[in-house]
Amino acid sequence: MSAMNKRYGVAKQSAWGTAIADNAAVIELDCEHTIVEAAYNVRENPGAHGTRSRRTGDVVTDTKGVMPTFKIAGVVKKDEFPNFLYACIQQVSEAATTPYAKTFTFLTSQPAFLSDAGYFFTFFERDPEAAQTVKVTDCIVKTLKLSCESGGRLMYEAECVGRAAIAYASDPSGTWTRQPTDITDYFFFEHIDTVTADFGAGAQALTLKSFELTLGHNDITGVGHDGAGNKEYPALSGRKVEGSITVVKDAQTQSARAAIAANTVIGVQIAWGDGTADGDLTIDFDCKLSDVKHDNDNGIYGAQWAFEALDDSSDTTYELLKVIAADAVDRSW
Amino acid sequence: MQQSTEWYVAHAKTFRASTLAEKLGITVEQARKLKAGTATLADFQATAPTIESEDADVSDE
Repeated sequence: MSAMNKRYGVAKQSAWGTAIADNAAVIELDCEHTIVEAAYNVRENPGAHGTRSRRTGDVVTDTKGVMPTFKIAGVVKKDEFPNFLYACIQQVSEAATTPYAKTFTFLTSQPAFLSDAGYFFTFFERDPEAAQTVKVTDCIVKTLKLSCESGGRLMYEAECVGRAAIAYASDPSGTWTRQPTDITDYFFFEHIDTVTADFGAGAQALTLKSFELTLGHNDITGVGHDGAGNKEYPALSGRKVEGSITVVKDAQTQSARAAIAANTVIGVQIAWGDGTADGDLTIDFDCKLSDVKHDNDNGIYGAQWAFEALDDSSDTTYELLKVIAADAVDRSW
Repeated sequence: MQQSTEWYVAHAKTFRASTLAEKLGITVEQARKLKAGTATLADFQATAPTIESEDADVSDE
């Protein structure tokens, strides 16, 4: 069966360790084709048995403690995206009234997944053949890469990690629903309202050519044992928020170079709207630049600023990373 | 893994409001207030029906 016939879906779980049932409702993703990487162990038994032929008992294969991985990549859509943000950042505060602005910030530690804290989902790699759909349980997003360039739309690539053995014989029968695809459901480059850098004397506007931002966790390791051959939950080790912004060269680029020399923390904001209306998306972070280099793509004299976001406990405006997404959907988060 | 009420309140921010509401037997709106730190569990319990009044309802039936 051709991979071209496959469909992909996610459904948030309420309980850790309990997969979404095949007959449940699923969000169907508009994403690139992907595949869940096979997750199993191949172990060698000690082979001092005096024979030249290896025997069946010399090799043991199993799925004990596996943490399946897969990637989802696509265009960011307003009503779909908060799920990925929550699955990655793992902490949100949702306003009680429309447009139900969701403010995502990193926890100081991590959610107690075993007690159903945080956000996790079941992923479906749906095969057109009956009972051949791949299903992965207890999935979270390890890293979420965002990118947007002139003439384009905001894109994402989510590196996901699940828990426990992959189910290869699922048979989805519930309702699969695509999230809205109206023109207002995307984040176009030319609709970016704000791109600023604050070197300590107030936000300065930048003329953006593109940006790239990767947020998430340096490493995810399964820990514990659940008595059924699986790890208990993923340990999220170390935050990662890094990327680059490429701008048309102006005085701010010289300020950026000076900032590196002076060890200056820079507050950056990239925003569609201000987080108060349906369709708004704002991204704020504190960072230090590690490089400012020429970027003359398309004959436009520009500069690429490479950065790493850093936690500045004295600054609650930008923080390590703060993302606000307003989608007019009450998700009871 | 079931935790104590105090534990859920202490870790309120790490839960979805819907999950927290289910764990604590409160509304989603009240759970949002707990997450935001704008209310305590005692605020909601003060307005909730008491056990005595629930018993009274049962006996009336």
